Amino acid sequence: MALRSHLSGLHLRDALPVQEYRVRVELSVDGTGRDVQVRTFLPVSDERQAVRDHVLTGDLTYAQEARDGNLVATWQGEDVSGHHELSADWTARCEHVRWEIPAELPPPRPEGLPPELARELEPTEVVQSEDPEVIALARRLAPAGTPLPRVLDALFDHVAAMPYVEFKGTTDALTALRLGEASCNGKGRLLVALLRASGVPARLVGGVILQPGSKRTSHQWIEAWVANRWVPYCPTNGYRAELPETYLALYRGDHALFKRTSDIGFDYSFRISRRLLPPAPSARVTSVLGRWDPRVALASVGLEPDLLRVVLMIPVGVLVLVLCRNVVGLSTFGTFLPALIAAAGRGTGLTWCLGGFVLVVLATLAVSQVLERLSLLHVPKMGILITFVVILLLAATAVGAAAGMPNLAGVGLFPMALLALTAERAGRMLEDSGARKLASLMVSTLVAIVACWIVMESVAVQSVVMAFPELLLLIVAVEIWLGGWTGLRVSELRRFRSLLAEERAS
Amino acid sequence: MSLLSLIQTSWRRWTEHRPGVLGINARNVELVRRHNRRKDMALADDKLRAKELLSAAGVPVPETLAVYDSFVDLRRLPADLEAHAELVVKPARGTQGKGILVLTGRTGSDAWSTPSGRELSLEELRSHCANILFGACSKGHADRVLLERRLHPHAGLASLAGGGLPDARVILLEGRPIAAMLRLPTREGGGRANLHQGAVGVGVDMASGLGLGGWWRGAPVTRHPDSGADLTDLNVPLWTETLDVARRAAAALPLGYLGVDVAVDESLGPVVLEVNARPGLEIQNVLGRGLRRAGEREESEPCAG
Repeated sequence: MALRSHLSGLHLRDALPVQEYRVRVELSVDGTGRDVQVRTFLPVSDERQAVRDHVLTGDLTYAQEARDGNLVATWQGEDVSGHHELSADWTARCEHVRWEIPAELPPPRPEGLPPELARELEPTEVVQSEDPEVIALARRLAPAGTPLPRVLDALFDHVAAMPYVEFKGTTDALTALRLGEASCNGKGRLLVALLRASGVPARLVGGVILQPGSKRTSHQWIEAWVANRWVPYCPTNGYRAELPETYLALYRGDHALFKRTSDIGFDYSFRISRRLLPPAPSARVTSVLGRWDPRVALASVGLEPDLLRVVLMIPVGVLVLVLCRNVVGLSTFGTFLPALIAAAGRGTGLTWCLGGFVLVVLATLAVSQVLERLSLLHVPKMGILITFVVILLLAATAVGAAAGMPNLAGVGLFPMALLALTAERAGRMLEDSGARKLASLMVSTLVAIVACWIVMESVAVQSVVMAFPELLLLIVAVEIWLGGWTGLRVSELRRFRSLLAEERAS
Repeated sequence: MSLLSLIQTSWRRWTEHRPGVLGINARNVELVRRHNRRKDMALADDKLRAKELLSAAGVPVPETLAVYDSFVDLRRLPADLEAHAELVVKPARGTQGKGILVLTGRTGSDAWSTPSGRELSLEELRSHCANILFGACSKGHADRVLLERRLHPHAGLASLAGGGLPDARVILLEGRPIAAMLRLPTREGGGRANLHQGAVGVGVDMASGLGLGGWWRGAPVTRHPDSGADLTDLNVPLWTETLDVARRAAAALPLGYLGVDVAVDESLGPVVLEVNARPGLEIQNVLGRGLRRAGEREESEPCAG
């Protein structure tokens, strides 16, 4: 693995899953019979954030257009009354990025900048960069002739050190300066004003901090023009020339995130969900096997990579089972049944995987108890049980689909013959050892299924094994070692606890 | 650093510490796999083949009255029931006492009774035998039915029998007995002499045949749960002979590590009921000592015993 990583330049971090966020902005509008217009910003991809799959919905006319480097979404309607739900969705993936500021930059030189940058030096009504108080503070923090890196540090340190106050409205730069405390937009405007007063082009950035859940809070930070590029600073959370992977920029400039016709009822919220994704298939994932690589072979016959993932995960699940049985001492129905049930459970989610397993075993157990009275030969009896398992699974699938529970429908993937065997064995065990023993074996089987499921469904484990299938050899090595391991199982520590206590005492 | 070293030392202590207690992993790796060949272990699982080898070597075993290999043979069942008042029906490959049926005598024109007083008809007996043939007691493998003479516990153990047949489990390693216990059935366990099915284990001192105290359902006991008979001053009848029979049984079989179950019959004396190539580990709790050291001593002194 290390060798391949070295040869092909495929690093472990390329194989690790990435975090991706689905963001949905929900807007609700209550019209009063007049014309309505609502606009907001949609994020665009840049060097640190990748955004795709913008979807706008709503029963008003909607459109998106690029305006001043931002992507604007607009909903409008004539004579709108009543309640309307609008939404904008997108998928975003951001990176944690840190910008290097060259130490030897000269002092800022505002002269001779192209018009689009000169514009970012102009004062506005709320960014009063030509106000004497602002200029005085800027001079005090960074006297004329201070090199640019020290100007940036001095102004940022001052604004970042100001106490933060929760305030929902707009705070202008001068107010923030006079109060000595501000919310995120007040701090942002003050820092922009100080930078502009010092001759550094600067602008506000509006965005949202990605956290799974629902919220109404957006966020603002700033960007300064340093060494021919825009470098972000967040004085509210103390990020200097750096942004964490949770920051998603929605627009540049001093805008409100939402703008709408004034005489309507309006509300909004962000709904954010996170999921782990396998990394994008990298061109670096090349194989010495060429077309004999099963990954290539599977793709060439049109099989989904999903199948390969399930197949590759089975040895991993089996290793978990070996640990459960030989190291923990968990006894389970069928040696490898839990790993196969867990593999089938990828379509159902864990709850239905366990629930479906218990249901199918119990129902089949009932059938086998009835069949017991007919004293049938073993193999035909197993045939009947397998048929019943199939009927049961199909019924569960149908009920799941009809009741709108697609997860329940997934139980159709359970290994049927193994379930029938399990039910038959459960029947004998009920007879020989009683319901209590059966229940305890059932519980430890469920524990083993959960353990297998957690490991087999882990996107991290899946991605790494997909990228480095030679890890299967490592699994074999671990199993060879475990095959000769003679230590006490965890369950035996309990079983022989009095003996072990004596031994320790002597 | 400190956390890592803590994990390291506790992992090492757990994996490398060799306690005297034998776990399933150690039993399989150090004893079963090292001392028994796979094909020989199948022999211990088939009571009929084991009995053939044992009786050829002159080791006493319960007398075989009849063997049914197939359905056709079941036609002989009525005649065999006629010929023997008391008998035991056994699957040749059954484990943990499954499928063993003891008949104490005929109580009517179509009724045979069991020790618990239950009465079975000829049809029920035939169906029981048929299930054994199907493999109901041997995980689905085709099986044979054995009819054996019923043994009666020796007077010295009759009060401890719990409606069944007590036996002595002797574990031997390369011919040397390393541990022994008495297994006393209870009514709760349905007369089976299996610890997992409710039998009482009583450790036996190898040299004297004296009881070392009882163990029942995961805890020490001093009295038999059915009869209340005292377990503390137990003296196994014919202990020297019992041990001798176990040694001869081990010598007659190609197994280096095995458990031999010996019942002491009131008239026949010690009789080998069955042998086990993977004897259970609960005997360590019964005896209050681990078996691992016994195995190691044997390896360093191969001439002992």
